[in-house]
Amino acid sequence: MTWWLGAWLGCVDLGSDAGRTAWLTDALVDDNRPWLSRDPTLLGTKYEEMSEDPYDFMRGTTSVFYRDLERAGSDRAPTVFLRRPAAALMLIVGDPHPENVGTLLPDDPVPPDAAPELLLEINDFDAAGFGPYLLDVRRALLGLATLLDGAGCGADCREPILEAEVEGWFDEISAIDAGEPTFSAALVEGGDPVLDLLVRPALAEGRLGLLLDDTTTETAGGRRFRTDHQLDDDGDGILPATARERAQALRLLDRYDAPDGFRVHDIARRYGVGIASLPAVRYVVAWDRGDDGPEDDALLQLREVVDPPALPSLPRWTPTLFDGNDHRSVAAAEILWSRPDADPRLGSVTDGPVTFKVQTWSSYATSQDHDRIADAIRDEEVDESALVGWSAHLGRQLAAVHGRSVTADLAPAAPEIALDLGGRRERFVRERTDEVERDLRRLLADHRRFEDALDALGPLLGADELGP
Amino acid sequence: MMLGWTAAALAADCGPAPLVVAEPLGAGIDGDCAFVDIEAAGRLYREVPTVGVSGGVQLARARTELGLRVRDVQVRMAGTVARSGGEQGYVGIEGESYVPVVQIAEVRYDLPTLGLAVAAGLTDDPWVMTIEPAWAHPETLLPLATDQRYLDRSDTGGFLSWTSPRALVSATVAVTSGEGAARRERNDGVNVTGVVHVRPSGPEPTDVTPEIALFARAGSRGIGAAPDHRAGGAVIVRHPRIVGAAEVVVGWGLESDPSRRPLGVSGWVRTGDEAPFVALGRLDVARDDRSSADAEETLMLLAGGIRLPWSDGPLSAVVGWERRRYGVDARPVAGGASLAASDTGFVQLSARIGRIAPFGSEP
Repeated sequence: MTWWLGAWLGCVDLGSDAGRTAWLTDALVDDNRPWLSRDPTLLGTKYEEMSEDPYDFMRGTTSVFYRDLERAGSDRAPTVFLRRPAAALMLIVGDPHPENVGTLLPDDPVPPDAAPELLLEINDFDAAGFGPYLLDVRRALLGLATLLDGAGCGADCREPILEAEVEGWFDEISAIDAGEPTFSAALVEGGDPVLDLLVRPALAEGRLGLLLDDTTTETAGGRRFRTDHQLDDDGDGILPATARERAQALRLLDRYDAPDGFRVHDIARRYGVGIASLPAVRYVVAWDRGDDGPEDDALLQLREVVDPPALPSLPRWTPTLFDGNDHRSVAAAEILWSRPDADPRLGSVTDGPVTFKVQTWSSYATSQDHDRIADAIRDEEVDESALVGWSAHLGRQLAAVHGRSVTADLAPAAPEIALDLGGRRERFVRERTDEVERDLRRLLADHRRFEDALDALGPLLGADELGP
Repeated sequence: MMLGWTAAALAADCGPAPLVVAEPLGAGIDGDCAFVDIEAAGRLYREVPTVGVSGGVQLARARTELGLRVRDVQVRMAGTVARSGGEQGYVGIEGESYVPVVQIAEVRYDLPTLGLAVAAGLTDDPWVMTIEPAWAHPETLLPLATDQRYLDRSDTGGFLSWTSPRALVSATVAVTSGEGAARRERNDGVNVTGVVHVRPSGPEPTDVTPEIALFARAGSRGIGAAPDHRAGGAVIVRHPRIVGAAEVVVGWGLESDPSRRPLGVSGWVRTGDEAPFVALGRLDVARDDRSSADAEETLMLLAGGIRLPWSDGPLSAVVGWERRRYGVDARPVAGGASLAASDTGFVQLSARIGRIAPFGSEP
């Protein structure tokens, strides 16, 4: 009788693990409702990618991370920081994990006989918004810890590397506040063994224009994409744009503040890129500046931007500064980059309620690859001291980003952060490194729960009926 | 809600059926009528700490209710507004315009000879609408259960209610989807809510009329059918010039999170319909995790003002102050001292007008 009543009411007696799975499932379904209602196949691909790798799971659960963090209860470790309101509502990246850090090339085109000068920048501001600076540090550390764990680097191995990132961040933000910043975004080949994994192929392939050659071909009618007949087993590929998609891309490009002579050669739709935004619409555009030859040919990417995750703050605190996602996706980058034109093609365009950001698509503009770095660690291409140096550099880079940030009142954020830190370096480092190990344990456990939930509930987590 | 149309109802011998309970056994229902109830409130506010957009203008309330009653059958529809895109999102309609939201779409049949009523559709939550009409100021602050997200204002489903002669006791059982008005059904389970409302002094108004109400809900929420059980009670004391209440709500599961065991206590007092002015005071203490004193949110509200354009007019102008204080574990980021409290001062203009129009022939 009790069982029957319980089943009818739907109130299954959930143990703590099953209870967490129930919460996680619901949080993921809520977060992915826009994709579920529009393109469940692509959402299924996203979930599949997330299930195959904890790092990709981390990338696909930014909203869940923040929702979890905000839940009231005694299972969270309190911080002794965030004493200053202005430091708790400043422009932050939202998700500065290692794969959201990459190279950008401000010079476009690169002057003849000049060496391309790459910058190390945050290259994804999808989660940018107003919130506590602490969350950026926390999220960056979680990304790094997940990468290291996936490379077989256990807690003892991780500790000095994670500490180095926190210390790098702390020391740089203190230096910025003192008016003596040390970080330079300029990248040089041979400067850092781990960053070289990013820089060397970017420069080599960029110089040769490999991406352009690999993805397009020259025809009498102009440059055309080499499109696939269908997506591969991983859901990756470039397909011809449908008439409707092409029309939308052209409407978007009409509104784009394009360089002089801008001519569109071809438009295609690109699939299987990213994790969180994998189901978002991506167009790739082959274009030139009007010359007949191939010298001025280049590529653009247009990618749909949706709302950022809700960053934890007091319920009534309202972010300011941005008019919409079109404004947010450009302004956040221009404020937080080392120079506003780090990607000279950056733009945002809207088509009705839909917003797209426009970016350079080039081998020069590429992201750190967690698989590549993990392989290098496993293969002992990079040793602990190199990883410590790299993570400290990432920490300083994030501090430099925060050094350019603004509070919700549009005042410089760095002095507020420094006042909030109050010189408590050791306390800050210990709090962050303890915290990241807890966050990692929870993430890995959630990843296992997610895999189990996919097995039990199906590829859309049992939310098939909420689809189109 | 009845304030606006009580006089008209008396004149028309017809009015909307009581919310979430049946008409008393033996009550006569005369005539057919249409009714309308419209309310709106705008607020100027200033918030401390002053960070970002910490002051401005808010639409504090916008609600319209329309209904038709033909003998024992009643149909009601009510709508509110919501920001398209939510309060933090940008993907909305025409920017982030206000959009209408259906709150209630209810068909109801009363059998007064048996003291029964049955309703179905998008119906009022039977506990929320036991408390909210007594509190009477949702334009200033929602009652504990909806302010703390313990319960939804309405849900798809229905209820069966019985009320004794002289309305001494009402008992209501509701069966609803459990996902609230804003979510499609996500699991096979249903929520079952039972409410008992006792009015010892019956319909004859005395100086002081006490009421006691109790409720329990067995429920589930979300894809994982997480427990979403609730229980609670309230004591309400009414006087024509002052109304006060104490309420407690406990829960097992919160917002699809089975690990949360919420507890909320609310005490409030407000001026009654015959008072020449408006005054409100309220203290809520709520924990999402009742085992942790540090996971506690404390809310204090004080507000007062005048009724316009006459002493019991439908318009009110109120000045108020609301303070929310969060324990270490209740803050958006645990421990963050700057996230420990917020104070909001406001000036609010609100009006609620209801009218009843009889039509048709006498039964």
